Amino acid sequence: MTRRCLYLGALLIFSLHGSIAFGQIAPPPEEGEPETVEPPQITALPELKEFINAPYPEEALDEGIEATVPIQIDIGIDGSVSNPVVMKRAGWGFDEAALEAVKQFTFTPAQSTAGPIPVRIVYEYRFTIEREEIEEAPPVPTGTIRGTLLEKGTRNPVEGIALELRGTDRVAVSTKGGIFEFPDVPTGIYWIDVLPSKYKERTEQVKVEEEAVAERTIRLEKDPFAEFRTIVRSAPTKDTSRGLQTEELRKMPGTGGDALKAIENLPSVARNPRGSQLIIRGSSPEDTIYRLDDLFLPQLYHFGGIRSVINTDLIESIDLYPGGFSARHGNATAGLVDVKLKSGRLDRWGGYVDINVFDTTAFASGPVNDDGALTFSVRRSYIDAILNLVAGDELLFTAAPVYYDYQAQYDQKLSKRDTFRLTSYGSDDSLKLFFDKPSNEDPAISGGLGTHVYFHGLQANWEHQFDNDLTMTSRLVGVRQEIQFNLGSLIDFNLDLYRLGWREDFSWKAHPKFDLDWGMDVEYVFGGTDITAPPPPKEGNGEEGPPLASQEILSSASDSIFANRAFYLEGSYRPWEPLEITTGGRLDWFGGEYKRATIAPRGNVRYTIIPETVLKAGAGQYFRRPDFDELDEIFGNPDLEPEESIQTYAGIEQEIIPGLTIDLQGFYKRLDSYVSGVPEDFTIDEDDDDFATGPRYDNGAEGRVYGGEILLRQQLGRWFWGWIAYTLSRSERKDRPGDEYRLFDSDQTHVLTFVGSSKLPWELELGVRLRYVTGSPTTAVERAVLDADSGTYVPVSGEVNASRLPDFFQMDIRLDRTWTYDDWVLQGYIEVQNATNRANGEGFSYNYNYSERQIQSGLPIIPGFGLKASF
Amino acid sequence: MHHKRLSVYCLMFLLTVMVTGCKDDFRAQSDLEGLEILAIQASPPSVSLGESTTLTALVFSENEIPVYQWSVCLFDTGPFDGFSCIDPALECCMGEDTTAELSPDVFINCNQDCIEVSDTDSEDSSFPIPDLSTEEGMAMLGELEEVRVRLRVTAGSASIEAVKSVTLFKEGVRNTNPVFGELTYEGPACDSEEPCVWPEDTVISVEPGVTIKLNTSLTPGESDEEDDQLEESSIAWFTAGAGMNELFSRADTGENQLQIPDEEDLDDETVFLWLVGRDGNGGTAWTQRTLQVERTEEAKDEE
Repeated sequence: MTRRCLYLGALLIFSLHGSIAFGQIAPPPEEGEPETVEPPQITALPELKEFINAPYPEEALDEGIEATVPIQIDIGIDGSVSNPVVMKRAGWGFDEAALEAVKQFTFTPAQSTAGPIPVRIVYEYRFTIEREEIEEAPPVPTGTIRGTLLEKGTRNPVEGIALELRGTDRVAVSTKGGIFEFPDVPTGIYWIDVLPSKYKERTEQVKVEEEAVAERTIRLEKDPFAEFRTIVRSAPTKDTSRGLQTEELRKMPGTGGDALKAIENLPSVARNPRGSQLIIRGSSPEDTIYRLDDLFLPQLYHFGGIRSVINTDLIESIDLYPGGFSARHGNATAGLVDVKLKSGRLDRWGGYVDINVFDTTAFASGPVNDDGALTFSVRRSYIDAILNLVAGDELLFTAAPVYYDYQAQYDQKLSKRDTFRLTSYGSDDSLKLFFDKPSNEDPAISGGLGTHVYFHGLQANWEHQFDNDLTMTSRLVGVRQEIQFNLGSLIDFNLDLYRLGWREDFSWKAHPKFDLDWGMDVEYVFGGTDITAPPPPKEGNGEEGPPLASQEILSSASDSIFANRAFYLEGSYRPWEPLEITTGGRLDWFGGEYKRATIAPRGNVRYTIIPETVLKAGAGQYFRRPDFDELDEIFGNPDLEPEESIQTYAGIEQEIIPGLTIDLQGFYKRLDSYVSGVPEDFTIDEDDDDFATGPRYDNGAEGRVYGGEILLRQQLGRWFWGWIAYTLSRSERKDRPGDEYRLFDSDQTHVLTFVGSSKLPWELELGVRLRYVTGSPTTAVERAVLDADSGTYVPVSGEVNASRLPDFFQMDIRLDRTWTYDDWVLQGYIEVQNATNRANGEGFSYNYNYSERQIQSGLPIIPGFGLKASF
Repeated sequence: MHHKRLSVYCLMFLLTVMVTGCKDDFRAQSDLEGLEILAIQASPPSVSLGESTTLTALVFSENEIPVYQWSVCLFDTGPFDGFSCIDPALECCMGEDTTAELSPDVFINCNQDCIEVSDTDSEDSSFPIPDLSTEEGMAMLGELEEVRVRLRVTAGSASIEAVKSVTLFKEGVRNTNPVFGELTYEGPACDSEEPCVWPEDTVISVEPGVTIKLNTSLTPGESDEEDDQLEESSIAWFTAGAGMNELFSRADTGENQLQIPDEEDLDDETVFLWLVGRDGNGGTAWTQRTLQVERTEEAKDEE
């Protein structure tokens, strides 16, 4: 009698770093930049290179006992084995022997589109006895047990779960599609035991008949106290990133389950008291750009910042780049938010209806062929009803204030090397009010107010992989956008835009130590403007502007074409393993009616001291074309130059213990050639001796922003996830050359956010968000002059931003509950914003002649709730 | 710096107001106390080069006799800086009476006794000052759309500034000041079912605590665009001793309500009402009414 040990190999991928199948999002941060969530695609599974023969336990050998030991192991990017865990004990010394042998195995690492990645597999180590003389035994009648493991509620197939046929040594592991099989099982009645995992244990009885297949579908219920997302560090990316998981974003208090709203809780993002767009590293919201699958996205939020314009369930990743981002991402003098959409479902049709206090969403996704999927989402608000309740009889809505958005997406895998996506999306916000009396504050405000802001886009993406080292992505987009606003008879603002975009990106792994990325980014904007309004207020004018009745009203109507053609080139060099140097540049050539060219060099360095500790630093130059109306001949100055910023950062990422990370970054941002209002001046025109006024804007402003950011974060784990984000910064501006630096409107010295959520019994989850923010700078009114032509007082502001509003503090609470049924899941939540009902000062209100003022409080306690039924 | 997107900010403001409310307990502008400038009238409201206009102020001073100080400036910094004169050398005094006359002579013989000029202002003065005693200088003045007159009124420790634009007439039909139509009232003081007419020189008697519904209209002065002018015209309502429902009303439907205080809140038995009409093009008119509040016998006895 001899002994022989067999291995069954890696039966399945149990968990992958950033695997789409498991909804991972979470590349770790780099160079103090973006907040990423980008799972790589697996291209090759690990293969066993060196098998170690385990000693056969002597006692078992003497007794003639055979066994199979399932062992869960992690295979690192170097192919080494770690964290072996016996999933089902066999006894007789088999477990220890198999464990010791497996520890010494070496594999080829799993490969992904991002290079080697760590994976987790279940390995079955089988001990069998090779008998020299095999006695002929009478044939035993057998049958087959075959089945499918589905997740209860979602009906998603569950892979990588071990099952045991009780009373035998037969073990199976579910594979793709959740399928498992026990072949050649002697006839009889058996119990199938689903072994412990992230799902609750389950037992199913089955009867095996001769030459028959016994089919079973077993529904597994998630164990709420099990880790339901495997947290892994993925390979570093060239841009820095702090990973966010959709599960975290969806249940974040104070966001209403909106992933894009959760961005405001990250370091580098200040609180925007005006509620709409993001203030990143002390810059104006207009200085940050938004992208959808790498192309222009007109806006991120519906009006008031209540909700984002993209359904969270369509989002695969969100990258927040507070600054210092790569040349491929474009130009913005502040930050960049890049939203990547995920592919539709290929396994089956599924979807949900989500009803909450603000809006209702319907979502569906499913296959249309073996490799193609369709996804739809539509959302419509009923804020009109809420506002009507609040406004009472004082305001008459002639058109309901309402927002809606939609997304439709078609994904098709054309071949092994080609994928195609067509996305249609849009958003619409509208509101009309009628005032039957002139405003007491400003008699010019009468008649009504109306706004209509919308966009519709159609985007096509094609990704082609030439070989394992070279990929190309082509993108085309067309966006129709219109912004309309009118107030009484004095303000009428119409901006009508057609945008066409084309992007080509190439990525080439030229050498194990060298990658090269290059591409082009072209955008044409055909715009029509028709504006009647006073000169727009400028940052630093103070919160209290003159009444409309006292202001000069200007009119301008024009059609114009703006073009931006950009080329970028970027290389990453790894002279030795821990060090990666990325450098490149971007050439932007503005065309059409605004002809300028800019060259922006950028680079960063990343040094991995040990896998848990990474140092990073970078610098880059960034430009921004002035806005449409700033370039308008009447309202602005067509000769303005692009605004410029130089951004630098340095930081360290440290994994303190598995799952608990800290990210520290310091940054300095210099702003030059910023558009600034020119004090009204009169000159003598030399040609005709007439009085002439100069342009309203020039590039005379400059600024600086500096500070540090900390993110201490516990990844989504068994009991708890959360983070503490802290930003210490100072943002200053000089309006004119020679002026002293003053505080910028968006300066907030301390921004401290705690977000945490803990699982409770009965499938409850309780989350809390705490925010403390230094009060925003404010400009007091120094005096006021009566404009006898309008009968209203015109305020005169004192020193710009010389004082601050009171500090802001808010606590938001969210309680989630999930009810899981066989074929569907019901989720409900209660969310209370400003749970302490604290009256945070958001500004001052003044009396008619500005001699008295009172603090104006923000939103009071706001309870909300929602229900989501998924199938 | 970057301008704030006008539409977005206006909308944000509106939503904030609607959601948070803008309730405060400030005294309304229509309830007069202390010292107030209610209006300044230029007659005529627009002038051609070389012509004169007379400026008159409607001032409410509760306790003390106000002191007036008029001045005019050719070029100012606009509303964001309180219409400050762009260069002190361009500001000329116009007297200290209740009325002032604006004529070319004010600029030609510019008197700056009332102007406070700091050393810094003098050093920074680089503005090309036109010589209005010459034809060229006057021609340059003709390029302007308007000149702004400043009035500072002081009464005791209180001081108020106001500015009034005088349009430089170029062509077309010259604007004139508007005229108030009949003022009617409804309520306990009116015995008729139809609104009663309230002439300017008539004092009506009312009881404490009553509400009087008022109605008037404003006829715009001559203009080549009277319809447009009417759209932008308004009536401002002021009272001393009572309360108004609104400060402004549309000039073509000039409705408002006067609330007479209850007995216990009544400070004075005489209530004054002022209406100031503006045509939106520089034309101004005003009218005044007086009410007598009849206290009850019980109240008189208590007193």
